[in-house]
Amino acid sequence: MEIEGYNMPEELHYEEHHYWVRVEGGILIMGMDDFAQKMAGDIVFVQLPFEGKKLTQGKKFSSVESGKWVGSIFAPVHGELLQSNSKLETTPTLINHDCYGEGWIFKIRPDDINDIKSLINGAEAIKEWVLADIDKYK
Amino acid sequence: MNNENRENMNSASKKRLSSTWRLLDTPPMTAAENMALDEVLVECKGNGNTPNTIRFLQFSPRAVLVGYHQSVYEEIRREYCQTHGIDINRRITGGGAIFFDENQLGWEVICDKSFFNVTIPNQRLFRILCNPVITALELLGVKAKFRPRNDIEVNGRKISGTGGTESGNAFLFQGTMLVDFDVDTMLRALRIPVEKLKAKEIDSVKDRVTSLKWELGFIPTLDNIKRAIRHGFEAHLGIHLEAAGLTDEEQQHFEKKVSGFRKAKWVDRVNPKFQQSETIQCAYKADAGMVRFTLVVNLKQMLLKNIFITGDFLSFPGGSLYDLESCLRGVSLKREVLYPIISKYFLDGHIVIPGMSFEEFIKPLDQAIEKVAITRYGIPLEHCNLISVVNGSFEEIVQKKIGALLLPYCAKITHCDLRYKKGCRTCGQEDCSIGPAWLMGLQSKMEVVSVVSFEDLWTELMRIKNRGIEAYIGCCCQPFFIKHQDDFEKSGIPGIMLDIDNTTCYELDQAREAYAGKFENQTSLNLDLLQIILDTASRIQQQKEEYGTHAII
Repeated sequence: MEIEGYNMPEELHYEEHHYWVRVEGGILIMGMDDFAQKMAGDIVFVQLPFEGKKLTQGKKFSSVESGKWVGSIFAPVHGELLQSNSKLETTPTLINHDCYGEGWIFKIRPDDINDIKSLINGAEAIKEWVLADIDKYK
Repeated sequence: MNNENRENMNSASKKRLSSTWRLLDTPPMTAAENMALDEVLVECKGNGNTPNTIRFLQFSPRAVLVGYHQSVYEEIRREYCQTHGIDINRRITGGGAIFFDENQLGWEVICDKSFFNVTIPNQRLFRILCNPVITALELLGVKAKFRPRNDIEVNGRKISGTGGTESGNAFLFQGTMLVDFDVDTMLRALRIPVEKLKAKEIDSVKDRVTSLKWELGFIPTLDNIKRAIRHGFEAHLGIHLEAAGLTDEEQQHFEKKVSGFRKAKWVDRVNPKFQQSETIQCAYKADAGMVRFTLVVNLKQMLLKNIFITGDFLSFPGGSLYDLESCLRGVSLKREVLYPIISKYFLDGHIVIPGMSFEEFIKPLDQAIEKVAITRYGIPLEHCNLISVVNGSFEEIVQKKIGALLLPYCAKITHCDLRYKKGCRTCGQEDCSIGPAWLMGLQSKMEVVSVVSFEDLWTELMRIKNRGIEAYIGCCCQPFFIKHQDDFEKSGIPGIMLDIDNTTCYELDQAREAYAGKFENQTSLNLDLLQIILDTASRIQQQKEEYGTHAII
């Protein structure tokens, strides 16, 4: 689904800081959404924490840098970090080039898959949320 | 105050109701104390327990600070800092390493994200946050402007760099104000590749920054500078500032945190594994002057970390070159990324270089990218830096049968009776690198030629071309190659040129004598590099014979 020039696939779940989550067989794949990567510009660094790290929903667990700004990445659910995309160590701009594909950032094992219900999901909710954010940045 | 600034200020003021913020003017502190306090302030603000704040900060002793994700090993000359009483620490904000001496004033904005109604920082926010300081500079008598993405410049020279981070619901945005500045110490404390630059070019590196003292001819009092910045923030953000100290909560957190910021675990927390940077330098002598690109690159990430474009050409407007450097910093080290940025910069008229075309300007950059491409053959960049190519890429040339090796007479022993003549007896005399190179060439079934003057070089190039030799390896110094790159190209024969060691005629200012074949010092060929290239070429030829077509790297 395209919303005013931003590609926001409607089948994904979104965390309010503009990170997406996709469910794949009980595992969550997470990455930055198109709105955030366009706002941030070229990503120069992503901190990739050790695998097995315990995550608390809503708490910062990693950081990302672009344009001299260090931003936080917040856990979308309670769970455990299964894997980080090691390609981002050498090519963090994969996030800019393919934020929903090769530029994925983390794989997470959720403690309770129902946690994703608190994320933004469904075409209407996504549209409303993104349009409100676009308005903020005008 | 310029119109754009006034407009921004009015709209910002109208948008927000006047609110009272804290003015936190902290005394000069150590780097660890200042960094710890940054974290405390943004965390407490993020938890919603403290007021929005403008902070002034100063350092004592002076300090170098790497960005949050940077490696001290890569960015800082640690030994120099330790022996000269310079603190080393890590910021909680992004960006590059900076030198912060006692003459600089830092300013910070710590506030609720909701104040700007923004959760992801973007250029519009950076501009809003820089505009108060631009107004402050104007009040002090310096006309400054915003330089995207988030710096402030005066006529193309940076006077304030900024960076930021966030915690919970709060932002911390910080910047420096160069009041007076010790550039020489900065160049020694940070790993800026000054050793690769000539003295004149170091001066031009200094031209990339400025300070209040350099602009005004005097140093305004610290009180006046702070008053101006305070006014800038009050007017632009529509706020009222009231001086206050730390809250009890902040003070307690600070006391708990500060020791952690003194530890190596914090200062050295970033592993340099993926942060290694290397330097490449290439130059081209155009009619309008010499243009030299010095690139600091991260090969693993294929990133251009830093760039200095120097030379003796004229460019307008003043500072446009530094703005161009700024546009190129941090981008991918690929022709398809770099060239459109530079081309657009030329086409949009942001820079004019009388007598030099875009194509000439990027020639040294093209050579630099070619040097990077050579690393794919397993040759370290420090060696690739000593290799230049003409009439083809390295990849194309090594696929050809390299039939000739050209060696310069200046590497022969000064008292050798064949110094100014063709040929070599391969007598094996110590201190002569020509003999071993000659044998290496013969072993590789190449025709080995000793070149005795520039005219002779041209004659030999034409001769080997007419004999149908596909490509050659030549040894010459960088200044000779830079000066004659066009001549090598005109010959039409693909060649790999290897740099030679030792002091050359150019450094001794004896180029005219050398041109005529009368240079009297001895240079030395880089035999290790020659062997690497011969081995690489031979490996490729073997693979070609095995696979029958284009060899695989």
